[in-house]
Amino acid sequence: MRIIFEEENVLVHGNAVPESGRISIIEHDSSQRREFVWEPIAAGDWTFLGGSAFDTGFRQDLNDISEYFKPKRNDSGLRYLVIKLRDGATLPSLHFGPGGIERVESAFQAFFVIKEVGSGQYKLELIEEPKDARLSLWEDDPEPRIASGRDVLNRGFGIFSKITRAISSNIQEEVARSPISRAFFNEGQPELPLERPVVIRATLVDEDDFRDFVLAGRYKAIKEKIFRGGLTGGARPFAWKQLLGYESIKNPEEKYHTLRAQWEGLTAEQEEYCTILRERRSLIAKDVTRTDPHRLNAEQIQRLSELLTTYCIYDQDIGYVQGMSDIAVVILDIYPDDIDAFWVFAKFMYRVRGNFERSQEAIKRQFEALRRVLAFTDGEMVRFLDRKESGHMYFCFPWFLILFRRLATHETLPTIWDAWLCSPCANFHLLIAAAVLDLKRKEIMNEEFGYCEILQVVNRLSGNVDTDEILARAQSLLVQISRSLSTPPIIKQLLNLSD
Amino acid sequence: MASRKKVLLKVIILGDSGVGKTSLMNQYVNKRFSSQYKATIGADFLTKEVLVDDRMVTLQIWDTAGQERFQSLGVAFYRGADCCVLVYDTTAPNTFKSLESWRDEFLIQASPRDPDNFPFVVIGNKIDLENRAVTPKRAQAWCAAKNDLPHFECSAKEATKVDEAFVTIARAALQQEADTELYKEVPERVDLRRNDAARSNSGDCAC
Repeated sequence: MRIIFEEENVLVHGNAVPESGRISIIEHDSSQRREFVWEPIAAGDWTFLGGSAFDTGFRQDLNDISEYFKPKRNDSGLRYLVIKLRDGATLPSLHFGPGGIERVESAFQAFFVIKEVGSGQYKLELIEEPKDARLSLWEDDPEPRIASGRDVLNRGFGIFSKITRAISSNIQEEVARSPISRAFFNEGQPELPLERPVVIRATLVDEDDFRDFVLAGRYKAIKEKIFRGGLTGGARPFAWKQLLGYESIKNPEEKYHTLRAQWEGLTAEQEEYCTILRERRSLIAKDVTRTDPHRLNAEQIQRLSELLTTYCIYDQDIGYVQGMSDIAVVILDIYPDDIDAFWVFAKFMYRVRGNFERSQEAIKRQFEALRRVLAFTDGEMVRFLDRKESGHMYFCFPWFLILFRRLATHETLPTIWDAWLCSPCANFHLLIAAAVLDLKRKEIMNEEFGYCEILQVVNRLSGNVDTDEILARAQSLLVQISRSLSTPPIIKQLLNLSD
Repeated sequence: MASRKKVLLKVIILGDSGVGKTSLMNQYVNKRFSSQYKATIGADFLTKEVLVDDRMVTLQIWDTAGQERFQSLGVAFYRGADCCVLVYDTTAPNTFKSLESWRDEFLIQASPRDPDNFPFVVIGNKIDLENRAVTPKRAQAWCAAKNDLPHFECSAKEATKVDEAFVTIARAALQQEADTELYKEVPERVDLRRNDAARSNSGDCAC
């Protein structure tokens, strides 16, 4: 058995007296079954191993968890989580200290696709085990499924049927026998050596290469080639459509025109009565002229505005949020056809739209994930950042929001996205971020920079980085992580890296 | 108290998207205007050394993203602010209406020690444009109702009144910083008294 995730100081109020405990996600070696466990800690951490503290506690198969509800802060300042099961029961509410909920959420990300279905309410869809590479290649981006809106939470947490009275003693023995997995979460976390393997970027994949490989059905091989070297400008339009799953869109032309007609057909009066759309359009109007002001002509600005307005109609929950114009302009550059550009943008947004949600939870989870990855690739730097009160990683915000758009120029950026789209790990952007920090590590640490200076270093990088150098570094980190025997499972899960 | 050490003053610029926060900052610090600034993503800052009433201070001016949804990450930037500048666009009434919520949001997030007296300075930008829609009278009435906030009508483009506004901002920030310093010294005295009290109490309870 191994412990995949742990969080301490989690209170359960189910009984008359709140009890402090620890939650963990464990995986059984034999059955691969994963469980979500809460057990009380009576006095001190080590009673857990002594086996005396198991008066109560509960455990739940991870497959049975279907949703969670995360209300706003309560009076005591602690925040709590209510976990809902497939059969309609809920687990007792779990109360966390600062950052606890975010850590649980990022742990959940390794197993579930998390979707916000209402205010503070999240639906969890189990990520299926890795499929046959050939079948899954172009299918890793399904059409958004409509989440069920039925209110399943808030029926109180009175249903305790799921709570087992005691956690069996054999588990304790197993844990006692696996000191390594415990040590990772306490002290002596494994760290990679700072000497990175040398990675040389491969040659660009051109249009003929791409078509040949696709015709031969060698999807995995071509993805890997693109990941290592990037695409030529000529190959990109067709390749991105393929990689983003454009073919799954039925009647793209007709759908596009229907969406477009919905805003183009509005009369001035109608728009007057639609505050949300009016405000979004006004934001768009402000942003399109300053998205790439030195480069775009009036016609290009017009196209950008039309694309973003059409997207507002398509995705009304997100509408328009600053940063989206930065993404859209890259795609418009590549696709002269409005319909292609719109659907490629929509498909791209599907992957990153969490970044633009009001709650900003997705971004916060990425900060936490990056922090964890960095603690493994460069523990010294995380300790430095913590000392400088910068361990929250907020300075990476623009990188995550618009996927390094402003780090690169409009010419060099697409190569970064090529790699991101073709990476063997779905969260490759975390390694790109780690690579940029790796690049600036000496400057930041030797100069003893604090939060403000780090932010300036990061902001001044705009358009000044060698994207191939960054990608080579990120690849090198990936090689190191994949090869290292000490890589904790949580790191692979955070990166969404299959074995 | 009378130390002449160099002071760092933190100033936060808030306001709706597109009102000209970045432009005002750059006009003041770099004496430059560009109509081509990109929308601010995240936050950035510039510093400027200025003389305020014979005292050399460093202003650290923070420019933030204008879209309200990014404010949940703003907390980190608001903390320790010595003055907050609220900016609206004199040609866009909505941006003026938003000032109230920007002010409230700032007070909640930054939670200054004395919120009623925390220094805000209000700037109406873009007076170089023809289509003015927020009258000075209306703006001044709001500022007067908020404990007499200083109000400036500026043009970042033409550098109109920008320096004047920032002199007031720097002065207000320095005052705020001095007040905070004063607060910092108070606990020492309180602690002493507490210790005394604790000592006498423990004496009483020694039984």
